[in-house]
Formats: sequence, C-alpha cells, structure tokens
Amino acid sequence: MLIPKRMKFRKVHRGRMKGKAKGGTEIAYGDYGLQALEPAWITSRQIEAARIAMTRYIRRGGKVWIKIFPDKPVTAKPAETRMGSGKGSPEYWVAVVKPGRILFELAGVSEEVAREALRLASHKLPIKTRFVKREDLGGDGDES
Amino acid sequence: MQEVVLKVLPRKKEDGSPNRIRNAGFVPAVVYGHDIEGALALKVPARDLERIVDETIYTKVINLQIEELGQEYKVMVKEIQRDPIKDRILHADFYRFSLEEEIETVVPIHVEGEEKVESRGGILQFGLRELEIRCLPTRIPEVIEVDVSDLEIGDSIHVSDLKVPEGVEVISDPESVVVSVVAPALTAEEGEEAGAAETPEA
Repeated sequence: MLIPKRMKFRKVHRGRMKGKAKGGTEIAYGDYGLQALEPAWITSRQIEAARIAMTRYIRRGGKVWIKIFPDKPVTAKPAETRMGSGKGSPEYWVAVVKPGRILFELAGVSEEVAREALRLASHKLPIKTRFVKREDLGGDGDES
Repeated sequence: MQEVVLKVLPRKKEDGSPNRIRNAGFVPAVVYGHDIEGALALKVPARDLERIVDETIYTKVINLQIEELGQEYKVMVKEIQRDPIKDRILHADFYRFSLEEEIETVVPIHVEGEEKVESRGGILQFGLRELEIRCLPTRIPEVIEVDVSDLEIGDSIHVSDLKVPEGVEVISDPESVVVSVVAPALTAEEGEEAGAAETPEA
C-alpha cells in the first residue's frame, strides 16, 4: 500500500474539495487513463485494490502508472469513546481527488484490454470515472 | 509552416463576464506581443477555434482578422486553457510575432517504428512528447520525427540524439530522455509483491 515515507505533521485539517482539478488532468505517460468525475478522498487501500484489479487483468505486458498519492492522514476516534479528549489518532491515508484528475494510466496494451482493465479498477473506487485516451489516439471515452 | 485564418471580434464591456461570452458560443481570448501595447481582449467563435486546434496548434501561424477594427495580425497560439471535464476551450492566448525575431515554441515529437518495438516485446515509455525550440517563425517545423525501430529493451533516445532542421535551436535539456523502451510489467502475482506500478508523484 502507498504511504508517505515521512511526514512533517501527524494530523492535518480535513480541508475542502472545491472546484475542479488544477493539474494532472491530461494523460502524461501512457496511452489510456481513468479520469475522476467527482471529488473524493481515495484511500490507499482503494488505490491498491484498483491497481491489483488492473494488473491481474492485463497479466504480463503493459505498464501501469498511478497518478495519485495518498499523502493526507485521516484520524479517527476508537469505537464507543466519549467525545472530547482531543483529536483521534491517524488511521489511514487518502489522496484528495478533484473532478478531472487522471487517476491511473496504462500503456502497452490494446484499447479493449485497457478499457476492461480500467473498468475493473473503477469498480474499486468510490467515485464516478471515465475512460480517456491520448488526444492523438482520437478523443476521449465514456463514463462508468 | 501552416497558416490559417481566424475571424475574431474585439471584447467589449457589454459582453459581460467571460462565462457569459462562453455561453454565447465564443471563447474569450487575448492577443499581445510585437507592436501591441499591453494586450487586446478578443472573443473567438468557439467552433472556429475548435476546428483549428490540434496537436500542431503551437506551430501554426494564424492570421487573426479583427474586421470591426480593420486590423489583421499574424500570431501564434501561446496557450490554450481547457475545462478538464467538459474538454471545451476556456481561453486562448495569441502572441503576435515579428518575422525578424526568433520565438520560442513547442513542437510535437512523432515516433516511427513503434510496432517493431512492440513486436519484440518492449513498451515505449515517453519522457517528452513535445520539444521546446527557438527559431524564426518561418522555420518552425510541424513535427519532429524520431525513428525507434532499432531500439531494444533498455535503450533510449535523448534530446541530443534528435535531428532538427537547420536554423532551429533546441531549448529542452539535451540530457532529457525523449523515449525509452522498457520491459513489460510483471505478472499480477509478482506485481502484488513488488508493487509493479509506478507512482510519478511519490
């Protein structure tokens, strides 16, 4: 699972997810990609589950890039604890994703394989996504 | 060097906000550069602009015709902003150049012989898709061709290996990798242990 090697602060504010993604909205490395259409916190477990779903389907061949990194710690209080006594302890890590962000990229596979692999990956994520292609391969794709 | 004609209108106060201009079927734009003091606010019919925008847009010379002002500018596209979800053009920057002055622009890199690499089991990994160059506006090449058919797994082509036409100076770092051939990813089981995917931002 993806987690930061070291961090400056153990706990951070929740923040807000206003607007659309400012960067990472175009395919940079591969030929195909999965684009987020909604804002969400994507956990490191979800990223890992999506990656495994993709690599299992494409088997040998192809190359996968994960374009998001869970660098935000999320805290939680233990179950059945009374409120108060300060902020809970860090439980898991999330990547803050805004609409338009490319989450994964794929190369070295046919379009059908890429479509199916990214469809399987999209089912591991808590948001609506869409399949996209490089511009010179001919426009973008459909929602799932 | 391609040249295209684009008829545009000056932007006025009555046009309202940029979003209102977009809803009326135009794209807010601006032109600046040689012999233009400050910048001139324009609006371009969205359909006309979409028609000419492709991957070679930064190498095209555009003849901007502002009929209302009776002016005509030879310009190049400096920047195109797009909505990441709807993919429509939000804004365009045009730069008016001088034929005597060199300009900096980006040219797409086209790869030839990709099938041969794939038939040998390699996957092309791109470091650069566009090359930054400096040259006179009349000498801008449309694309830079790269032949990768002889590359084996582990080989790569750097910016310094590219052949550019005479009079064109490359600004991109000569040590940068343009394209390299990598081995396919591990199988799913191997990958699960090793963490096969790359995280460019990690």
